Amino acid sequence: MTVTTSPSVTKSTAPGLFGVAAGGALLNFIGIGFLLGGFIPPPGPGAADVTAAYFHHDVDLKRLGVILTIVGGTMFLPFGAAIADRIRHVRGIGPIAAMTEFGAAIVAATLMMTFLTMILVGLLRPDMPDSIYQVLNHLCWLGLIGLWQPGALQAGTTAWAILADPSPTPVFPRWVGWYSLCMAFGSLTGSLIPFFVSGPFAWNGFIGFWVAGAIFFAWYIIMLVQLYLAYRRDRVEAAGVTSDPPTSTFSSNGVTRGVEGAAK
Amino acid sequence: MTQQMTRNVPAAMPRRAPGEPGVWAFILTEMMIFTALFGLIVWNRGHHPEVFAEGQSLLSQPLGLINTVVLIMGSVSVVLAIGATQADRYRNASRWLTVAMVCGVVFVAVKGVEYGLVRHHGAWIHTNVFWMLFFAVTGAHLIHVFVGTAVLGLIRPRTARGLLGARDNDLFVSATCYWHMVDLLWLVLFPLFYLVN
Repeated sequence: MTVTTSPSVTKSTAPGLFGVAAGGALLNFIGIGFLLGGFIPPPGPGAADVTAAYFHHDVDLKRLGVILTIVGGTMFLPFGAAIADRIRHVRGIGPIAAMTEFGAAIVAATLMMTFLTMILVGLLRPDMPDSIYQVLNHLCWLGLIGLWQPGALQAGTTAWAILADPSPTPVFPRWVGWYSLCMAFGSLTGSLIPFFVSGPFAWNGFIGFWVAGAIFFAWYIIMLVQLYLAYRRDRVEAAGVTSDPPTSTFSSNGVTRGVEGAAK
Repeated sequence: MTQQMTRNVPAAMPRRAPGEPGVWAFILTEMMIFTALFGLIVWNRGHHPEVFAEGQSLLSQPLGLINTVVLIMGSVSVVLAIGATQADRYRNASRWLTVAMVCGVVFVAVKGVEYGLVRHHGAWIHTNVFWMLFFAVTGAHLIHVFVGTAVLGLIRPRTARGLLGARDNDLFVSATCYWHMVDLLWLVLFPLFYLVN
């Protein structure tokens, strides 16, 4: 929906809808992909024959799961762009935080495409020595779960922007900034993954997968909900603009910073 | 009678979390993560009692106790700093924050000595489940002590200037809450690793 308020200024709710759709797709594709691929939890850093057995059963279902997970991972790009589109309006730090956040989202999407391809290679060739499957599996999960830095950077820069926002109608509530900081900080648990091939801190362990995964995906759910709320505010605002165009006010960048009482 | 009493009761003050409310999203999530780690320790203790008993025998209870006292002293200092700000004695508050920061540095130093001692005995994260949990969990807590000390260091100059900024007072109280959380976590870790057998 596009609302024209004057001949020179228009406000669109399409970016908000785009972010919500991308976030929904991200969570659904990765969720379904993980279920079909048998990644809850993922195959651990175990012995070669155990790892090879994973690659030899339900091969087509796992292929489908990996493909869906990669599609979900690709959604890091539009979802990251939608978050960047919001935080760029924060005065001062906004533009550079937005660029950093989106850059981190690009890296996160690239990691998903690159390292999950290792699993696809294993699933494509059933005739390889067991040790090859083991190496492919190690490469994939050390890359995806062990490389926590892009996700932490994405959440950390989002936190910085939110907490630095001086506006009385901030782009996101401040608690989201604090949770984002917690997500960035909690990602440090990923540093333990290269140290263990079993136990709670391994990539399929209680802390390495379940706790870290819960913190990680909770951040995406929170950001999705916040993008939806912001989109809804935009719609209400746009409707208000339609009914009373002369009183609508826009900031210098052409976007109104929320309605009264929003994002408190 | 009841109506009369109701009329005399003053209107309830709105209840509010100390510091900036949003900080509690951070603190509570941190506490949930550590609760998971505590559960992990208890679960493994139940499954490997002899490994835990052997590991515990190498730990220095006096060093653990010193660190407990140091962190409690840090928390008392932080409480005194809060009291000082409420009495508008901001210089005093700043000094108490410095004392708390010194406590943080002493804790890190004692922990370094303790890690050195257990390493001298040949213990490391790969030795067994006790040492894996000991180094991982106390290491995570140590990072929190670093962060807590740094946060107090960040708010200290603003405190000395009188917490003049619009959000300064909330940030000050939030920093002290974080410090108390760090202290509280150690008060659970200390008995779990050093005392319970």
